Formats: sequence, C-alpha cells, structure tokens
Amino acid sequence: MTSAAPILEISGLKKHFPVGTWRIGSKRETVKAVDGISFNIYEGETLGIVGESGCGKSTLARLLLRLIPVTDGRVFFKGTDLLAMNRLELKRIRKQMQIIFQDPFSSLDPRKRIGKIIDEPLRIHGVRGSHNRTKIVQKLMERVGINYEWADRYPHEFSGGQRQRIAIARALVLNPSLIICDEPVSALDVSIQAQVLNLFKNLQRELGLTYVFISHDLSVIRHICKRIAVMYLGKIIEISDADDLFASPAHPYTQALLSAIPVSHPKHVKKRTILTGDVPNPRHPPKGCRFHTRCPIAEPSCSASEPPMKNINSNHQAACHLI
Amino acid sequence: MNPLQPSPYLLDCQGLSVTFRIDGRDFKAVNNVSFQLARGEVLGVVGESGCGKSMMALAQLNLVPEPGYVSGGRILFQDQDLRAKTERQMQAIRGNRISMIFQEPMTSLNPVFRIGRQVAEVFLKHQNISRKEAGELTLQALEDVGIPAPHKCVNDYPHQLSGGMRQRVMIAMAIGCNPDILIADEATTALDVTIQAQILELMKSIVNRFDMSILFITHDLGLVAELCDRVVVMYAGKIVETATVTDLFDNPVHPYTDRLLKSIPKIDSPVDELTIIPGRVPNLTELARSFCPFEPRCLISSEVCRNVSPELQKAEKDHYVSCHHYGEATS
Amino acid sequence: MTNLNRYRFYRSIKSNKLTLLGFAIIIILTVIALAAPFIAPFDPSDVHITERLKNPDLKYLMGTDEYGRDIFSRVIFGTRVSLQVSFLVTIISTVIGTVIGLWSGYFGGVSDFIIMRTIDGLMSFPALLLSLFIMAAFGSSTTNLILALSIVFIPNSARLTRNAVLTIRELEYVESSRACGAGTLRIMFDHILPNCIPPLIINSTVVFGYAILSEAALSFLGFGDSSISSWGAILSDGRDFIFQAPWISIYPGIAISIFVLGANLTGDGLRDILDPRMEKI
Repeated sequence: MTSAAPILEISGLKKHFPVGTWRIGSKRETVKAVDGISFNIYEGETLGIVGESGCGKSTLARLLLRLIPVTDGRVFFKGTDLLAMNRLELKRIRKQMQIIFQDPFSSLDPRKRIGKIIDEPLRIHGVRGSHNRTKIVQKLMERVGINYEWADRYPHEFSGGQRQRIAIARALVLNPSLIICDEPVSALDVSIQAQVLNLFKNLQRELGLTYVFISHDLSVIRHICKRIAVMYLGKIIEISDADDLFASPAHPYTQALLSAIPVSHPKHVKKRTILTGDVPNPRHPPKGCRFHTRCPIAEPSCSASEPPMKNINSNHQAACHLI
Repeated sequence: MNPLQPSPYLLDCQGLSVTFRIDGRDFKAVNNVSFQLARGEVLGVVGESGCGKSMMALAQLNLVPEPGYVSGGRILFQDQDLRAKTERQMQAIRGNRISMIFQEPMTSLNPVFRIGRQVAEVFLKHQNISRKEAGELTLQALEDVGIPAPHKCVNDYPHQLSGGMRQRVMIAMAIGCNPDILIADEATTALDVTIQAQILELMKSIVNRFDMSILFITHDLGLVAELCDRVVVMYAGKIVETATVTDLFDNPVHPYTDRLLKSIPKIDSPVDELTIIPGRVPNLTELARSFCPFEPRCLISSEVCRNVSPELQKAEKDHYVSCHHYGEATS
Repeated sequence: MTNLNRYRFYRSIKSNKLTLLGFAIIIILTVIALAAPFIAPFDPSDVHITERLKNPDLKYLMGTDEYGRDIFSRVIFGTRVSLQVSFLVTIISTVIGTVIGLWSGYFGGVSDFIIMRTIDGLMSFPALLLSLFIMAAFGSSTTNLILALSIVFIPNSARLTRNAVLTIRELEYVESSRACGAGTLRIMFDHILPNCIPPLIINSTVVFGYAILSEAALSFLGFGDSSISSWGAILSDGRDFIFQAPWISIYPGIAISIFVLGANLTGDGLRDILDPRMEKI
C-alpha cells in the first residue's frame, strides 16, 4: 500500500438503471451498470480504469462525482461522506473534483466563446472581479497551450486536440485536487494524443493532481498510470500496480485483454487467447463469476458463486476462484 | 507502360486525385496518389483524420460522395481502367469482384430487414441462382465468418446482434461472392479490443483460405503491424512513404512516419515523455498545393520544402518516400 | 460575434435570395403598419356613399366597398391589426410554450407526464375549432382572439422545446457545468435555452404565418372583433359582393398571402443559416 492518504474511498458502490416499461405489479428490470465496487484512490497517484464497452467505467466516473444518483454504497472524499452532503456542501466540494470527457465536440457549449466557457466555473463559485477572473483564465489558457487572443472564438473554430485542451483548462480553473478523465484522448488523432498525454503528465507534476484515468486503450493507460483497475460487467476483477499487471496478469480476462492488443512491431509474434462470444447483456449478468461464460479456464464452481477479491501480493488483487 | 504486357498487379492505382468543390473553390482530398496491390497481399493504408485515405478507398469503387469527384488518374483492375466503366458495370463489380466494409456496423445494415435476407441479396444480385440456393450460400457464408448458430442468425434483425457479430455479417456479405479484393475502411475501429482481435484473426484466415487481397485502411499502426504485408502512409492527401511493413517499422525514412511511430505509447517499452509532432493535422481547406504538406510541422524542413513539392522516389529496395530530406530524421 | 462569424452570416443571407425576399416582405409590412396614417390616402372608416362599389382607379387604388370606404386605406390599416395579432400570438405562445417545455423536459417525471398529456389533448383539437370554442365561451373581442390563438399554438413550442431539452440535457457540456457546481436555473437559462433558440426561431416564423391565417378565418366566420377591421374582416365583408366588386375580397386576400409567404421564406432561410453555420467544412 502506498503511504499517501486516500483521497477517495469507495465501498460497495452500485448503480442500477431501470429499463423497459413500467408494468403494474411486476418488478422493473434493471441494467446493473456498476454492481458492487470498492477501492481507494490515493493522493497524487494516477489510477487507470480499463475495460471494454458495457463494463460500467463511464457510469463509475459519474458516480464518483455524484453527477448521477447512487443506488447503493458509500463514497468518501477526503474523509467526508460525499453522498450525505446537502446541495450547498456538495457545491463547495465540487471545486475539488473535476471531470474531462471523451468527446471534445460535445463537451463544450457551441454557443459560448471559449473564454466564457473557462470562466464559467469561477463565476459559479462567486470569484469576484472580472479583471481578476480574466487573469486566471489567461494564465490557464497559456498553460495548456491555447493562445489567449483566441478567447473570443467559438469551440467549432478549434480542432479536436485544441478543444480537449480547453476542456482541461476549464477543469483546472478551480484548482481541483482530483480530476477524472473519461477517455480523454480516444477521440483524438494519434499525433495529437501524444501532445495531450504529455500535457496531462506535466500538469500532474506541476500541480500535484490526482487522476482517475479511464480508457479502453491499454497502451495509453500503461503510459500514464501507476496503478490499474480492470473492470468487467460492472465489477472490478483485478487491481494492481501497472508493472505487475502487465508482467503477470492474474485474472483470465486481463490475460485475454492483454493478448488481444495488436503487436507494436511486425516481427513480434503473439500467442493469442481469443475469447469466444460477446459481452453478456448487463441486464442479465451471468450467475456466479460474470466472466465464466467466456472464460477459457472456467470450471463448474465458477458459476456457483461470485469470486471474492484475493490478494496476489500486497499491491495486486484479483477476483477469481482459480488463482 | 506497355499495354500489351499484363500488369503483375491485381490493382494498379496511378495518379489518383479526388477533388471537392465547395463554395466554388476546389480542394484536393487525394492528391496524385499511386499504389499497387498484388494478389493475396494485404496492403495497409495508414494516416490520421483528413489524410484522404477513406476518400481514396471510396474512389476505387467510384463511391466518392458529393461534392467530391474523382478528378484524375487511372485505376487499373486486372488491366482494365475502372474509371472508364459505366455505373452499370461498376455495380457488377461491387460486392462481386471488389468488396468494401466500413467502420460502423450499426449503420451499414438495414435495421428493418432480417440478416438472412440482407446477406442473400448479395448472392441474388451477382449470381444467377434461386432463392433456395442463395439461402444455402448465406448459411455457408455466415459459418465461414465464424458466426455461431447461423440458422438462428438468419432470422435475427441487426439490432439483436452485437457490434462484433454485425461486423462479421458485413464481412460475410463482402466475401460471399469470393471477390479478388476486400477494402476494409477502419473496419475494427468501433469494436472493443477483444472483439477486434477476433475480427483480425478472421481476416487473416480469409486471406489464407481464399487468396484474397485486402486494402486495409486504418489509423492504428498496431493493426498494420499485425495484419499487413506492405504499408502506404498518407498525409494531407498525399502518399509520404510506402514500404514493406517490416521496413517501415525498422527504418522509417519520412519525418512524419518516424515521429508518428515514436509518438505512440507502447505497452512493452513505456517512455516518460512521448515524442510529439508539433502543430495539428491540416483540414481540407488548409491543404497547400505547391509545397510539401508536412512542412509546417516538420523539424527538418528547409527552403526547398516550401517551394518544391517532393515526389515519390526510391529510398531503398521496395521502399519509396516523398521527402527532400528523407532519412535525416531518424536519430 | 467575431468578424469571421459576422462575415459568414451576411454572406449566407445575401447568397440566399429567397430569404432576403422573406425578410424584406416582413420588414416592409411592418413599416407600412407603423406608418399607416401617413401612407393611407383616406381614413379607413371614411364613408363616401356616392362612390360606393367603385372599380379600382387612380383615386381609390383598390376600389371602394359598399359604404364607399377606400379599400386601399383599409388594407393598409388592416396591416396594423394583422401584424399586431400575429406578433402577440407568436410571442405569447412561444414564451409560455418554451417555459412549459423547459420544465417538462428538464425535470421529467410525473409533472412531465401530466403536462405532455394535457398538451396532447390540446393538440387533438383542430386549431380553428379550439379557438372558436374559446371565443364562443368568452366573447369575441380582439383580446380574446389573441388569447385563444395563443393557447392553440402553445403545444407547438412546448413540444419543440421539450425535445431540444431532452437532447441537450444529456450532452457533456451540461454535465461539465453540473460538475462545476452549477445549479438548475443556471444550467437551464445559460446552457439549455440558448441552444434551443434556433429551432424556436424557425418555429416562430411558422406560427407567425399560421396566426394570421387563423385570424383571417375567424374573422371570416364572423368571430372577429367587428369594431376594427383586419384583413380577414375586410375579406369577409366582401363576400356578399364577390361578383359585383371582387376587389373588396381579392386585395386583402393577396395581402394575407404575401404576409404568409414572407413568414415562410424567412423561416426556411433561417433554418439554413442557423444550423449549418456550426458545421465545419
């Protein structure tokens, strides 16, 4: 365990979305997007959350900030119960935790000039003096590499990479300690990804930020995260130090995920574990271990009960009956 | 070129240009592009958004959307110029001799028709067979692409299938008539990593089983390393480098390719800071015509790069590059 | 607006001749309405009994009616009534409809359900029937006419706004605002509403045209206010003389057509201007 204090403590977090039409008398079906997640995030670290579509990582991102209501579980931010706060307290806490989204095209209001977009959080929290705010905005824009002279332009006049920088500037303007990044580079061109990833790293060094970095791209996660959690169908199935995860992945899903990544050089030949079938419907997750329907080493006991998190070593846990 | 001697290539694209006419001005999305595809070969076309790779692919089958049009060049398929063919003749080729699959399997399939009917349509269009025979071919095709329980699948609607399944159906439709060439335009981009691996394995087996050539368009160099024999790198509508895949990764001579390879985070060799390419990808309206399109972002450019457009020249055996300073970038 | 945007805006208006025509029509009619006393050669209620039912000539540009009143002057003054009714109906129905739509779309739940079913109920009545009903119940003054038509057109903008809100509410820039601590009111008026405005503007032009048509129809049926003469009323008065003096009905009819044409052309053009402007090439 790292010696830093936990900035976020999550236990038993669940989010079930009701779906389908409401019929009188019968129980409504739910999509169990997040179904019992517990972990800690430590100050100054970059925790990566990786998983494929439908695993619940984007839902988790929103739950951590209480952007959507929680079905069950607890979230503690720096020791205080996030879910028990009233509106005023929540508003104050929001200054410390921010989010950056995947799509640079829909995360900025197309009808506002970017100067105003970055300025908005300051106004929401009553930072007085427009001259004062302008200085803050200007400094941030320069820091992320956007010329301040362009503050009067609209988002559609910028490229994807530049818009993502604007989103980063907006996230930084209130001096948060925690930033949740939901697939922030997935929609960007490869050469721009590198620019933005470097920016993320530099900002973390300068400002002592804590990141939760969500992605489906393991190479990106490897580059930027020191600790990684792997999600499948609403649960964390493995969580570990980055080096350890890539060197010796414990859970069969993680192994399959790693083996599925394309090689980085044509001469590398990879032994592949190809998973059969598709991701099960989150409305009806498989009984017992959720992965057993596609698992290459599944045994009858795997469908009987859900596996608990087991310690591989002090920094590495995985939820599988067979390790 | 001697017209009497047949070309050794299945597809020989010469000097292709695609122009867009917007507001009375012309913009070249594809600028004098030439490449060759041999039988049984997988040729990768790699580049970032706006480089023209998709337009180039669509141009092969004369599917460039308005306001774009093919403005120059020849596309020789089995020694016949596809540009000289009528729409009727092209329809006989599409799906039959040259097929194409796209990125979004969600929108490539018609949501109101069952899978069986959509796949059978391809056979009925190109072959003189009965509905019953088409049905049998459909089941065979679905099995060929690895769909479990084809008998059930033919009665499903597209929305009942997952993304990976839909892409397999698309592939089944594309290879059903055993075409010579399959054009895959970002076919795995929208899929999850584990599903992408399945589709890649499927494509490899298709190449082996049917001796099919694939024109594989992607932005992902990892996929290129996995699947392709040769690679063409495009930037702003032009080809900047073309080589065998091993040569490209071992010895990239164009500054763009070199930096692109270095800017990708790699799982097995993590670095602290990624090499970046300064500036941004130009969009269609910014494309320059008279000098090297990469010059504004190039660290080794010089006066000649601003004034003279570099043409494709031979750097080494089977390795071509269009750069005045090729080879100087790799450090 | 930056210079680039201003330039693009004027360029797109100029390039679309029909939109320009639509704008011009509305502006000219407004000017006519405002300057009516100065343009009209006669007082619209001036009776020249000796010159009744005269053909259009140089003195009476559009002829006279059965009381000898100059049709030209009546049409000009009628512009005031018609524009007044249309503007008011459009503004009232759009404002109320937008507020309802915003509430319904943003908060959802039971209130949304109730509101939407009420709106559905309103919409299931033919517009004319509904306004007839209201006017028959409350009397036929101009005020009631405006109120009745406003009620008829509320569902239009309510639905439109609600749909826009449902889409925008899920967009990430709204989530970002909430993540910064923005409250409901700020999100509604700062983010959602401005993005609803383009479709609302376009819808308003449609309502504008329909309002005048409905008013004309109601006046024609005799439900308009008889003390002031809108185009519909003039048209209606000319009914009895359609064979002797068709000009009494024709000219106000032409005026109505031009008005609606102007409104529709403007709406079409605005749709083209307001949406693709956001498109990158």
